[in-house]
Amino acid sequence: MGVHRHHTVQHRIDALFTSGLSPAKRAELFAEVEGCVRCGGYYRRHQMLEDALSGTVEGVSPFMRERILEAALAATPIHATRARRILWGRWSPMGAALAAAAMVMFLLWPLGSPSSSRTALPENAGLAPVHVLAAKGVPASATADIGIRVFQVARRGDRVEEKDAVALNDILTFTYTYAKPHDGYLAIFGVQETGEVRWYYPDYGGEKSIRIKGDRVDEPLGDGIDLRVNHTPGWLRIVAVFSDKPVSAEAVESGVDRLRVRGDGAELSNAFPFENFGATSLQYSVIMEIEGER
Amino acid sequence: MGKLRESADLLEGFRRGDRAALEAVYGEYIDSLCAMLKEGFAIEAAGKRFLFEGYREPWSLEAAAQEVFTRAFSPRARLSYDGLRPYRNYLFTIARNYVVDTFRKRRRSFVPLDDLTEPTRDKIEESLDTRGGPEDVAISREIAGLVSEFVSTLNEMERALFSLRFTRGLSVEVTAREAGVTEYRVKRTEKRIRSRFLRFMKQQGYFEGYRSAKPASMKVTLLALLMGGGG
Repeated sequence: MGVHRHHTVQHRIDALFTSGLSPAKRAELFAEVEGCVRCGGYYRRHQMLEDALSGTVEGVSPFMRERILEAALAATPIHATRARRILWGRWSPMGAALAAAAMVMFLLWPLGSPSSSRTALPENAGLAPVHVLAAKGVPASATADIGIRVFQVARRGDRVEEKDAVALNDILTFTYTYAKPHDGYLAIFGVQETGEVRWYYPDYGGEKSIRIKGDRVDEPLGDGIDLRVNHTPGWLRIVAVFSDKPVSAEAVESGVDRLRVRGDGAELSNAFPFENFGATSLQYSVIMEIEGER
Repeated sequence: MGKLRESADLLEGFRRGDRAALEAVYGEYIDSLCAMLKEGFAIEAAGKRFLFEGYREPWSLEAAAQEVFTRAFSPRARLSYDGLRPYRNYLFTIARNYVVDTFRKRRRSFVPLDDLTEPTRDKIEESLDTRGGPEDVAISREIAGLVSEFVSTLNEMERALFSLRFTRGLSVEVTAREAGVTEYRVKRTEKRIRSRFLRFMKQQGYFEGYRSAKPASMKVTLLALLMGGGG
């Protein structure tokens, strides 16, 4: 543990009670708070607020219950869940759709107000390759052994051709290529200029990377990332991590935090400073431009 | 009797590590475990009896409960539970072992029972019962008033989610289902509400006396002092 700084610890306490912290960061925070009367008082005040918000008079607030459960489950190997299998089921039909991506296909994309950046794509989605400003890790081509390709989902009336830049009302989707004889794992996330992670795929929340089949070329993910949600004009760096073992969300988050502190998330020469990904993990990054007024 | 002893399916799922089974067991025992960890108990270590005063602070209680359930949910602990004994006892034994481990690291929270006279024990019991004192009651009333004021500033959607998630204490999943929105939206709205509430409470001076200034402003102050001193 480094030098105790009240403002840093209190900033983390704020984060815990607003956006949440990973179980590992929480444990670090608890240790910091333990030895400081001032920060302890600050934490206590926060807890009283949480209790008041949830109407907790005695016992444990529902939010503390959730945090404890999340931490306990994160440290436990969980048996396969039904949700994961459903997700895979949804991916399969997309294979046929993408195989026909070279053909001009259109869809009417619903333009209602989106609530999540992640959205399932219809089977007949037209996909246009997106021009990337820079790529690092593995060549972004369909012939690569490992990598991802980025596509913009076409709207009705759009021509399916490579886009120089994407717009804030676009939806992106990905295919992955994993030409290995065995299954692997894939985690993808998008980062913007502030160093803020805009989305995780799969959804972030302590989940690990998704299992991917080996010997696959241009396999579609079947879900889209809606840029209308949570994105701003400017560069978007998409990082894909292929690994032989699942990558913990906590490891991803801590790597992103370290890069954010350095403030050079757009510089492709800087790999994300992840730890504990294992010797067999591989990062692949692309940077693209999102058009719009800043 | 305990759900694990009543349901063979639950026990099987628990041993296998099914998420739903783990959640069911957690839901059944989290409150009693936290009460136990908070109230404290006597332990024996190094040939002496000690009174463990309990985890009085919210962070230490959370850290302890987190660790106990992590141990209890480990594959080894799950498979070691025979389904015959009460699981509560099994869990509490894990908790006691955790406390004894902590004891070995530091003894601050432990009072040797043999050294205590009756009046001293009473005094300790009194000091342990800190929650619900007049000061806390006054603060709670103040907060309750401010919460009402803050809730009145929420829009219709936010208020609906606030009611489900905060007032009724429903999970994100159930809240999303009841409100007819995605879980992601529930999480985002909750985060927004919490952030705004924090700002609101800071504006009310709720954290005064606890907050620390950022180093940048401290540097400016120091610089100003130095410049003032030099002139």
